Amino acid sequence: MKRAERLAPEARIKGLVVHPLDEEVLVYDLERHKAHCLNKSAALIWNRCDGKTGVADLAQYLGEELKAPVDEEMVWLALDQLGKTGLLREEMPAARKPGLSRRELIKRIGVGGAMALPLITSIVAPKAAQAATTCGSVICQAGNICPTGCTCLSVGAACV
Amino acid sequence: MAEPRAKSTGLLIAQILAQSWRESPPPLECSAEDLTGIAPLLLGSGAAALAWWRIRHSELRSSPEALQLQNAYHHFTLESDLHERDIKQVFSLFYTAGVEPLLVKGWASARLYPEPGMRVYGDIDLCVRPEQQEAALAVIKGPECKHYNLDLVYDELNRLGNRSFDELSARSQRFTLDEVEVRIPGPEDHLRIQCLHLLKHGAWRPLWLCDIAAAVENRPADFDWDLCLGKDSRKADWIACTIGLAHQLLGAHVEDTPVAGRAKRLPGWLIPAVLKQWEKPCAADHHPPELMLATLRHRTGLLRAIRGRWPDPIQATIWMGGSFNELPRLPFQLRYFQAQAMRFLARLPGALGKEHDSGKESSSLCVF
Repeated sequence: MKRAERLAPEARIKGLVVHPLDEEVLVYDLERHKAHCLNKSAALIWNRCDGKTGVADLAQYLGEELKAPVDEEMVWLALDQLGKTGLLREEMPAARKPGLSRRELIKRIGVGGAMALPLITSIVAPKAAQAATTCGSVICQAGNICPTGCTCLSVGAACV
Repeated sequence: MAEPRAKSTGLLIAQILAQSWRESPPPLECSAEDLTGIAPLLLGSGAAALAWWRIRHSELRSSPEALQLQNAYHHFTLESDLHERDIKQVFSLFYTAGVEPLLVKGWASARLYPEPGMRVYGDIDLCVRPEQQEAALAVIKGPECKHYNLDLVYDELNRLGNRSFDELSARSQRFTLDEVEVRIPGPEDHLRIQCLHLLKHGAWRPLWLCDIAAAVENRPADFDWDLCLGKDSRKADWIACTIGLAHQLLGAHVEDTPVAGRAKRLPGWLIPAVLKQWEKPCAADHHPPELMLATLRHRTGLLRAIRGRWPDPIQATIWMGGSFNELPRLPFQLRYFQAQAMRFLARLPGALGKEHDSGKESSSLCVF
C-alpha cells in the first residue's frame, strides 16, 4: 500500500464559517477571505475527514451515502480540491495517477455518474449588491454638507 | 399586426419577485430571454437571491443567469452568518460604552424570510437615545468599529416616523444571538419604519417592498394596526398605500388587514412612479454625481445636473408632506426641487470662499 493511501485526511475547522444547506455546504474562510460551495459528495467527504478515516474507507462511506459504487479516484479528486482550497489541515500528497483529471473521471464513470463527482466552486460577491443607504458612505464636508435625508453631526465624520 | 409591447423592466422585476419571500412561492412564468435581460438588475439591486428562490424549481434553474442568482444566494447565506457575528460584536461594544441601541431594517427585516440568505445585508442601522448619540458616535469612530458599516438612523425615524426612542424601546423585541441581546423595534413600529423609509427614498429598491410584504404576511396575531398606522392620518395613508404597493405589485396578502380597501385603490400615479424607479433598481443609479463648479458654468452641464437631481413624485410628496391623492405631483416636485436648490445656494458662498482660500477649484462642491 502506498504511503498516500494510508493517510487519513483531517478537515480544517478553525477560521471557517460553515453553513449547511439541503444539498450543499457553504464555507467562508475567514483567513483567506474566500467563500466556497461544496456539493453533496465533496461535503460528505469533507465532513468525514476526521484524521482517522483513510481513503478506501472514505470511498466506501461515500458509496453508502450516495447508494452507488464509488471509486477511490473520486475521493482523491475531492481531497485534491479540498487541499487546494485550504479546507484540510494539510494538503494531501498527490497520489492519483498522473493525468487522471475530472474530465477523465467523467469519461470513466459516465455522464450519469458525473453528478456524483465531488465539486467545490468559488462563491463570488454579486456586483453592486451593497446596501442602499448612502449616508454612511459620504463624509460630511465643511459647511455641514451631507446628501439629502442625511445629517452631518461633525465635519470629517461620516454622514448619518 | 403590431408586435405586442415588451414588458417593462419594472414589471418584469415585479413579476419575478412576486411572493418570493414565501417558503413556497408560486411557479414562475418567465422566459429565458426575460431572465437574461433582468438578471444584472436583480444582481445589482440585492434581489438576486429572492429571484433564485423563485426560479430554483423551474426549468430556468440551470441557465447561466440562474447560476449567477444561485451564487448570490450562496453569498448572502454566508454573509448572513458573518453579519450576525458583526451584530453581536457591535452590540457588545455599544453595551460596554453604556449605549443601548435598537437595530432597524437589515437583519430585523431579513429574519422574516424563510432562509437567511434570501436577503442581502448591508449597513448595520442602529437607533440610539438622542442623549446617547455622542457616545454612540464615539463607539462608531473607535478602532474596534472601523470594519463595520454602521449607520445611526434616529433622526430619520424621529422626523418621519414621529416616534421617540423611548416609545420604540418600550415596545422593542429582544433576541439573543449566542449570549448577546439584540433589540429591534416591535412589529408595528418596524413595519411603519420600513414603509416610511421606502417612501423617503422614492421606493427605488424592489427589495424594500419585499421586506414590507414579508412583514405584513408574517405579522403576529395580535398586531396592532392602529399603532402601526399612527394618529397622523396623512402618514397612516402613506403607510396604507405602501402596503397597497406590496399587494398590487408583488401579490402580498392584505385581505385580512384594515388597509385592504386602500391597498386596492391606489392613486393613479403611484404604481407607474414605482415601476419607473424599478427601471433603475441599483444603488449606483441613485447617487447623483457630485456637483462641480465647472458643471454649473455650462448650460448643458447645469441642465444635466438638474435632471440628475429632479425628484421622483413619491420622494417629493413625502418630503413636502403631501397627500397621496389623484392630483398631479408636479407642484410637489417643483417645491421639493426649489427647497433643495435654496439649501444648495445658501451653502454656496461658504464653499466658494473655501475654494478661493485654497487657491484652486474644489473638485466637489456639494451634493443636493
